[in-house]
Amino acid sequence: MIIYIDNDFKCHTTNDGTLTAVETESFDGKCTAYIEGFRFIPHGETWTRSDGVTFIGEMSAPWKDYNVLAAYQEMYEAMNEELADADEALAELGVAVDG
Amino acid sequence: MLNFKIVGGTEQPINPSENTIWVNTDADISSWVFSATEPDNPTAGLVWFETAAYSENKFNAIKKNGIYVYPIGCKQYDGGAWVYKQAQTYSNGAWKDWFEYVYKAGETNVLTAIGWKATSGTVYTHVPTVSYSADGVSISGSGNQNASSGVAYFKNKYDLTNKSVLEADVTFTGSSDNALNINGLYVWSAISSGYFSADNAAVARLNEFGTQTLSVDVSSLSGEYYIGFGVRYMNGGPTIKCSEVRLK
Repeated sequence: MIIYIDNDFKCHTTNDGTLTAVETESFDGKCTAYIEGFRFIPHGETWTRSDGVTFIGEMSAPWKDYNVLAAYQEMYEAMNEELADADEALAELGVAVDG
Repeated sequence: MLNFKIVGGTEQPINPSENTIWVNTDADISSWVFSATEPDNPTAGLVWFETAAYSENKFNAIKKNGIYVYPIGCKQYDGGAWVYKQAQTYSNGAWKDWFEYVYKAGETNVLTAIGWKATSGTVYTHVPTVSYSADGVSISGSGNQNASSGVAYFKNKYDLTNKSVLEADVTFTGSSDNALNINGLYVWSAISSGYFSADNAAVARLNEFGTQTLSVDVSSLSGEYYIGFGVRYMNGGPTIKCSEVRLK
């Protein structure tokens, strides 16, 4: 998928015109809240953390509390599962679902 | 009489004496303690030097006889919470970083070097080959078709709370598909049967062959995680040979 990174390598799912597009499979299947809690440093790039430690790409790591991001993703997957169950039930009832 | 000195500040001390311990901090150090476990009821400014059974930075704490201290990490109680602080020791004419070994080739005193477990993880799954030698552990992709992939990871989880950086010294050889490169150093909350490349908390990927250090920012991870390597079989390779894994 295509994500967008800012000049601090933080990930975004939409581009306000100032961001850099990156193609990666690192976030396939992940919800927006999860993706936007990560940093992605592409191969060939270097990021220096505020304490001076340097990381060389390719590296992806959360900048928000990962426990919170994981909880968002869990809720997203549970919701998708419910929607899939609902679609299946409607299909059995012969109710068309607008797509 | 103590055989070491502790200095706080945002710049390394000039003309330090042997066993000077520098804590990179802009907060006043009110007191300090060496302990294997987190101190109870800390006060503002307290520096906790975490100790273990083994450290590259061991030192004799007193001028006579021998009471050796094995520091592996440094935190300061600042703003109502424990905050990771960089610590270095001036030893034999140079500043040395502090860190905790997760794995060190040939070092039986590294208590956390408890072994690896190989498993598989994507559409074309195949358990990697893990072999040990005096200078490291080699993880090789295996399979009967290209794009087979698998993982090798330390059997027990590691507590990454208040840890800052995960590093691994590796040599990457063989062949790889750069368009689908998922070889690298991984942090997982769980080892699932799913696509391990997408199912991780943090990763540093191998994009070039040769000897290198992989570094992962783990400062936003708290709790226990698996640490290991993912490898993807392609044209008979590749191999990740690891000599050290460190946590700071």
